[in-house]
Amino acid sequence: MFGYVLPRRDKLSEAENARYRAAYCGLCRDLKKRYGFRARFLVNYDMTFLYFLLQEGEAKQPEHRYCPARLFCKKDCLPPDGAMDYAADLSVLLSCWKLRDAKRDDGFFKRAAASLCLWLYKKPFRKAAAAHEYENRVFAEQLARLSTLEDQRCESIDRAADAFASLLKACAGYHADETLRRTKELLLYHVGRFLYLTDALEDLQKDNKSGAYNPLRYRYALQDGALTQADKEQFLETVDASISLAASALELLPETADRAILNNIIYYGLPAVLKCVADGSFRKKGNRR
Amino acid sequence: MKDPYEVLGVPHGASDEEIKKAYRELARKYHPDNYTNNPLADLAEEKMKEINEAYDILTSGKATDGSSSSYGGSSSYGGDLGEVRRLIQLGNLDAAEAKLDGIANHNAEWYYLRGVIAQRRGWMDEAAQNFRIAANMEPGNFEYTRAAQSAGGGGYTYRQTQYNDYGGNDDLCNLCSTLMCLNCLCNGCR
Repeated sequence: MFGYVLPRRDKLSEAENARYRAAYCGLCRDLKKRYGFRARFLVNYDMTFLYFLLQEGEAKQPEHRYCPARLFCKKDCLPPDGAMDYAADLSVLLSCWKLRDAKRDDGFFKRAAASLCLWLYKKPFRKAAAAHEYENRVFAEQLARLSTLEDQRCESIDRAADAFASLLKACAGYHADETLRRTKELLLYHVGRFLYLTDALEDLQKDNKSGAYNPLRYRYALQDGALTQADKEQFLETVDASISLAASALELLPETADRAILNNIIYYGLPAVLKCVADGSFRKKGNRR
Repeated sequence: MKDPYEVLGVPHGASDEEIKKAYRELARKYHPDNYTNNPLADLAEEKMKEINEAYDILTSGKATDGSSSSYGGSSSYGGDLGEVRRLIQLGNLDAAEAKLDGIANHNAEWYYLRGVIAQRRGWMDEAAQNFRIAANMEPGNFEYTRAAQSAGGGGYTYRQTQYNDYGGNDDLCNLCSTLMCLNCLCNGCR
């Protein structure tokens, strides 16, 4: 995953911060429970967001559990429920599809590492895929579509982003209720579009050097491997439109226990991440995944 | 029927002034103009209706400004492009696009409708490109100019809401990302 879907912690209250951490730890614990210890390494912020988005009903109280990353001191963990299990399953599915993708593109060592990881996660992947046939099918279809678009050197940033956005949209399949599902589909579609385009912006210079496909290279006339100021503004505006549309969907959702965290992610987190990626301050050198 | 106080998000026994204020805020948020060409426009309209009804009850039936009245474009257009408009209204975007592709005469309206189809799909960059072409071809047309100005934003701007002070200064941003990296390293612990 990308790690772009984050809250702005400084705008969360102390209690909200604690709940966000407890959800992250809870997801990690649920991954272990469902898929064994190795799955703990797949915990990520994007799926923590998915948990908060899908969550329904009363606020769950955190439990105090051991955390192996903290040398066996105890941490607050939200207890597993339907939304948590779903987020855990999809963490496995998405990570494995990402590894499959890496096996195709990157250099020899990365390919070898990806193959090794895939072998390690073979059983969890099979289990998650069997439990979520619809989502797994959409992921496969949309990633195939994306790689076709890449091979064609697609000039439209919208069409390239559409494949990834449609993939994320499938995560709303959790809900049987038509209205909830439709609203969250639009929200996830635009979070997906945001993710794809933000990633494209961050990777632009790297891809320009290596010659890898990046939709921005074909959509805009680059100067010295970067967007011109005018193009950059136009690009940021179109990504901003996705944040707006995600917010327009969020406003139509019923209140949930941790709504303040969701609001924070969409209204503060995404714009802040976009701004940091745009001015190059998002990741320090050497901290790249 | 939902509790009208709950719909407006005010406590029972709130004053007229408070009710009015809450109503105005909600009406601004869910106004149809904010959901133009948004696939969820029908849900926003429903919400607006609910808010209007709640307000009507609480102000003992005094008339509201009726902002939930019908919208969504007229269907009085004729010809092939009128058919495209009709298909867009029905939400059949693929058919609308196919029909549009079959028309040889690429006038301003043609580009505008291409923009609307892209906007309905959430393809905001293509929408903005097409709206700009339409507005340049026919500078006097209000519909095209307005669409080009909003540049494919789709109406709703999240900065209208109470969260409009996002962004902060760079130091906070850096601090935030440093904390995020640290958090990655220690698996989400403080």
